[in-house]
Amino acid sequence: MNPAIARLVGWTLVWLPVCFAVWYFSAPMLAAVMGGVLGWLVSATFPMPVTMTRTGALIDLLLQVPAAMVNGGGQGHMAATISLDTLIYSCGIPLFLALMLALPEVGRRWREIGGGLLVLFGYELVALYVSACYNTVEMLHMIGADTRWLFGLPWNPHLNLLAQTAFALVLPSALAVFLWASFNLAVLTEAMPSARRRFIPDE
Amino acid sequence: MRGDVAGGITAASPCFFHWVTLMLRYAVTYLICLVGLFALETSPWAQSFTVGTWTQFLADMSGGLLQSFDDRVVVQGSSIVNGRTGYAVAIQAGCNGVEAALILAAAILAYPASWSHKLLGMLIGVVAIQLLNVIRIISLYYLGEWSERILTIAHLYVWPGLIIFDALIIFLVWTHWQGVPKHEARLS
Repeated sequence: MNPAIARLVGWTLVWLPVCFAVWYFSAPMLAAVMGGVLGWLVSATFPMPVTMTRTGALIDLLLQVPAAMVNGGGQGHMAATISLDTLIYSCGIPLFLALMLALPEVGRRWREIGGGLLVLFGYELVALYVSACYNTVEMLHMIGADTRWLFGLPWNPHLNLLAQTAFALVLPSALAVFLWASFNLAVLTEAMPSARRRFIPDE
Repeated sequence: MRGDVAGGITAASPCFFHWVTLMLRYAVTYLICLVGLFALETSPWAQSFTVGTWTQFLADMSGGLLQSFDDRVVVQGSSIVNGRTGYAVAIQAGCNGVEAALILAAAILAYPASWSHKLLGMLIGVVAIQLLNVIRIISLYYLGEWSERILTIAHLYVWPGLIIFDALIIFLVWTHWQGVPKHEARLS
């Protein structure tokens, strides 16, 4: 293995448990901030009354679905809860930090680390909101509501699965690697002979 | 040197825009490949393969490996069950390593290399990711028997990062390997 890659792997594995512990134990604080903004977003955009509660890093959205929305419905409301685990959407943070700390000259790169963290926090908020939307649409579809009106999108199994796969499965970790790579193009291009040859025109 | 974007190129270098164009082309091609592969993977017929056939194969393989040193293990459908206590882990969509394999495949597909190198990289990469995924499934089975809380932490927060990190390492090793001239590769 290339010594630069071996060094990166080794130091990332050293930093990863430390970053993971810091992220895991500070997650409830981050969830409090995210929950506050998410609660505001959901209240402003969901076409039904929503109450939000938080326990540690878990956020519960209590939706009051008007019974009239459901086929054969009548007066009053139905209560439904959507649970969101904020840790799922922010689990790329320790990987990003460990990858950044594994490179030399980390002392001069705090601005990049800060910028990357801001992007990951922003992603977490967007992903929480998108997950709240697709879980709500799916729940309404299951109870027989007309979902064409919600968020301007009809319920569609393929779209729903694509959103879940992208926002809950792929992007939380993959975004960390994409960010790290975009901050380290110089390091990557230097370390790889093929990248040097293909991406540096004069060589 | 500080201020370099890559290999001595700075924003003032004559070839800077060429470098930016190449990088942007790679990023755009990568995104197109990624979105295309995921749209394909979430289509109903691909789901019936990845969720059905592939997940079943993974359960059989992981269960078979576990049975070689633990006679309590039984495979029931896509679940690995402790025959004595009834404790079970079910392998579901999203647990089969397909997503990480697609992220790696898109990165290799978009990279400017020969098709034979790309195919070899994807083949070895997918096998390596799936091998780590089998280790992941086995570790989750035992962690879950020990503590449900630890299982949740490992399953939802630790392993996704490790699998993506594995894909990154494979990509870096592949880009390094496929750029080394053949006589050097043979010597090393």
